[in-house]
Amino acid sequence: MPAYTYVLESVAQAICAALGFTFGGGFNHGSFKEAFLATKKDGEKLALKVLRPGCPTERSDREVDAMKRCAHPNIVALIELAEFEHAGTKYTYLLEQFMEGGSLDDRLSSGLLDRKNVLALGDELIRALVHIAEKELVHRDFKPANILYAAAGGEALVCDFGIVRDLSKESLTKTFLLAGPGTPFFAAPEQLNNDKSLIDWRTDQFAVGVTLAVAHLGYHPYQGDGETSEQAILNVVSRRGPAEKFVKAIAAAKLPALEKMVARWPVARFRLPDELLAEWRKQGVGI
Amino acid sequence: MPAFHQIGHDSQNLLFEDSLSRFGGAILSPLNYNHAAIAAQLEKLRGRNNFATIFDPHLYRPQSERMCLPEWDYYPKDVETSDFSERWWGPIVDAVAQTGVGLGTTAVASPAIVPKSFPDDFFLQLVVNGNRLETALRGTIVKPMQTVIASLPDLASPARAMTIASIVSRSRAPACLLVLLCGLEPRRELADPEGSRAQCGLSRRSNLVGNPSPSRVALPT
Repeated sequence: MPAYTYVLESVAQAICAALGFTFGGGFNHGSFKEAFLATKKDGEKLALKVLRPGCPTERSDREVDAMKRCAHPNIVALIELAEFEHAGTKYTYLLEQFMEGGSLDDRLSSGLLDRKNVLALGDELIRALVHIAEKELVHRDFKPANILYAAAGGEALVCDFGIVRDLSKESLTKTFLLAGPGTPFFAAPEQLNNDKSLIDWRTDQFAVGVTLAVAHLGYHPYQGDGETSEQAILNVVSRRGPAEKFVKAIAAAKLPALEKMVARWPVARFRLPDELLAEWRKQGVGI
Repeated sequence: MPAFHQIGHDSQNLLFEDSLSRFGGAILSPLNYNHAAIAAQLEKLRGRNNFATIFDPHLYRPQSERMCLPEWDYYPKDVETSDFSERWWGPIVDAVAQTGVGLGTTAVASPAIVPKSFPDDFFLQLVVNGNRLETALRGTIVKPMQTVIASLPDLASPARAMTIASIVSRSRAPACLLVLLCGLEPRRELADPEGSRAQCGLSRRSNLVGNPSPSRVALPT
């Protein structure tokens, strides 16, 4: 695959020059923005995210609004939001914590998490989820790539509110679409079927459940023996329910909360965020 | 789940019969009785152990006979011309909460109307009212109940029952008053086993955190 060309690099360089930061090059890119490393004079590293001009402003407005509303040790902090004019065009940029410890994706590439570490990770993610739910937000994109670490050995932080759903505002997703936005492998049945009325914090609960299952077991909860990850997604779409091998594996691992988190229907999952946190923690008692 | 007695015209007498003392509670009827009459009923019931009194505002059918309803302070004067928007419902929900607190009932059910059809939006609106009621009753000893009105024939589809249960279980109210609509005349037996089975499933699922959630099959569609 050819290396990605950062089209907003000159803009990022100009922003860094204006702020007195050292430009450190691009490190990530998405549909709506590109991310660059910027280092302050005191050595603090920041993520500079420049929005592509003309990207859907309602989505980016909601992302920024969500990040402003969330202030939690397990959610990547928004430090500044501003506009910058460069070569006659106005750009919006964000400054966020730079997460030097990499992502959960990176960690999983070197091996699965054992029970103790998955219990700790679950606690961190569920605490973030409780906070997000309190703000009437649904992140809709919990997955290992969006779980970052400030430093090796530190706690996990959730990032990327790019497709956040604000339950206090009208949905931006068109009702006629077959599927709502999200990463299919981690998405809940209601997300994959675009059942908009069923989207709430329990949609994120499902994705956190899939993330934890993948981190501990290495496969999707709906993925039966000999099935591909694509088949697992289809099993979620058709609400087939968790595969037998998953149910057996988490029973053996003594992680019963995980089965309820990935139930087919929201009503069968944990109803309240605090209830989920309490049940998750019960699994760690005595270890 | 205990049985709850829906008080109807003169049926409150049943609550005071010795052999009928096993009811888990009574659903009060502002349709049949005014404030003074319900206050008197509550006075007679006070002190009974493990007996819940539920104030159901009975806003279901604005087109039907209203009997005592217009005498109640919470009953809207503009029910014929209202747009039933969230803004319209807000003060009514608050007034219903105040009524329950004033009467000293165990619980108050959130106001709801009987719709022409039962799309997801209808259930989402029910939850908005239930959550507003929960907010209005915070700090009081009166328990909020989420009213859910569902069409029994709709529940013959298990997926539909699960969808409805998934929406209404979003409510912050700790219990649910489930009202099921069917085409039967009152006091006739149900003949639809699928609908009945799904009703049981919805009752179980809507039994939000384990508190008794009375359900009622009463109103003809």
